[in-house]
Amino acid sequence: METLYKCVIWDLDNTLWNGICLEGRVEPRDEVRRTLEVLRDRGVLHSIASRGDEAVARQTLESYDLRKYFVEPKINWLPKNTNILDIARTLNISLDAVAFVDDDPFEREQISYMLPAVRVIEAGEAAALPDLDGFNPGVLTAEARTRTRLYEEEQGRQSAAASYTSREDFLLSCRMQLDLRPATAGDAPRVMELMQRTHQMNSTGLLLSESALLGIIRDSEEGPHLYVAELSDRFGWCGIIGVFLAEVDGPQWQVALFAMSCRVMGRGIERAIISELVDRATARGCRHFRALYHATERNRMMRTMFQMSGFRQQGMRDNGSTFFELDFTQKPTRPSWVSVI
Amino acid sequence: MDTEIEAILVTFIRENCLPQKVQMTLGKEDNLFDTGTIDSAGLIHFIGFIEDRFNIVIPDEDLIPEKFTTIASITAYVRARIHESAIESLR
Repeated sequence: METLYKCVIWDLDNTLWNGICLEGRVEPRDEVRRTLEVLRDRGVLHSIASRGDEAVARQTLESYDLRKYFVEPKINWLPKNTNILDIARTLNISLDAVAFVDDDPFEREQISYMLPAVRVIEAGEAAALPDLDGFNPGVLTAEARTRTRLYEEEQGRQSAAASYTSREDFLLSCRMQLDLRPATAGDAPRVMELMQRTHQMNSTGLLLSESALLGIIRDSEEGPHLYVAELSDRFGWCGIIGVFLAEVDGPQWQVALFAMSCRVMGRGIERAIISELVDRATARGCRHFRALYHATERNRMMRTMFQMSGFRQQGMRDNGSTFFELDFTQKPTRPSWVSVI
Repeated sequence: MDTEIEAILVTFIRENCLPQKVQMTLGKEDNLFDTGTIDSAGLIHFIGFIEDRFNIVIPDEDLIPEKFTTIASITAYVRARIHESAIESLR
């Protein structure tokens, strides 16, 4: 599948603006601002890896109203590969979903050598960035348009976490509300986006066309059930963060897709979702609850989640796919800090 | 040996999964999942650390609640794996 870039990391001097900010006046490049806006509205995050004096650069960014486009800017004297790695880790994005824009051939070469997975782009190409392959997800959702703000709210959560004396107290104070509901036609773009963008917490990598998706939504009484999970907490609305497809055959339920956004990892949400899915299935007569799993290089976390939630592996096919079956005596407990509506 | 393994595990959890600066209680029988200390993402990170630190391989099949729910159960598991690896290397 074609790579979709989730984060563009920018150099500052002679890339974001013309001139060198430590040496005096700079002039922002209008075409770069347009690129920043277009990509931001498509759900791409922007960050900064620049050598220089942080205070001066921040002041310059503020004075031209550019600061608002960026998350996790790194302006210091460390090698850029160190900063890029740091940004990718903090944002929980893999390096092959990162692009780096710089005017300096040395810096570009250094990144190509040190971090070959990163896509390296010359500053002169900045205006054309939105037209390049991998920068257009095809679907535009409310979650994508507000991703930069959502990320900033997440930073609020992280810094709030530091002031609590227990992790559970902190999680409880966030007042997380999870709404697990059948998908509607209006959810289709976001469902497709989650199918394309989630890799770590994605059980099978199943991709469906929009028309197939709409068909499932329309026939959900007879056919497979498609659920979405919407999350909110005291910091704001996180949007639709997960999608789950369950095939039902009498008392047997089989989860053909479990996909959850990496943005909300670290809060035990996946346990709340799986336990709620199991409860709903049980209430509807389910006696065998299975989950398909197709191993990739990146979704080991998904296997761990199933196993730690009381599922046992039941067989392996040649293509690497397998399924897990729930041992109902080991049903996962629901986290105390997530209320499900 | 157990106290040593346990201390290494607790340090990792404190540094990576709990709020910094606050001395929090972490009982060795506390359920790491039910207390929100780690979740699926945290466990993957933790396993990578354990494999590197103790030079052992943790097979996927071993990632089950009986073995990875508390500091005490993980300590016992790590001790057993170190022992097995030592025997294997003698053969």
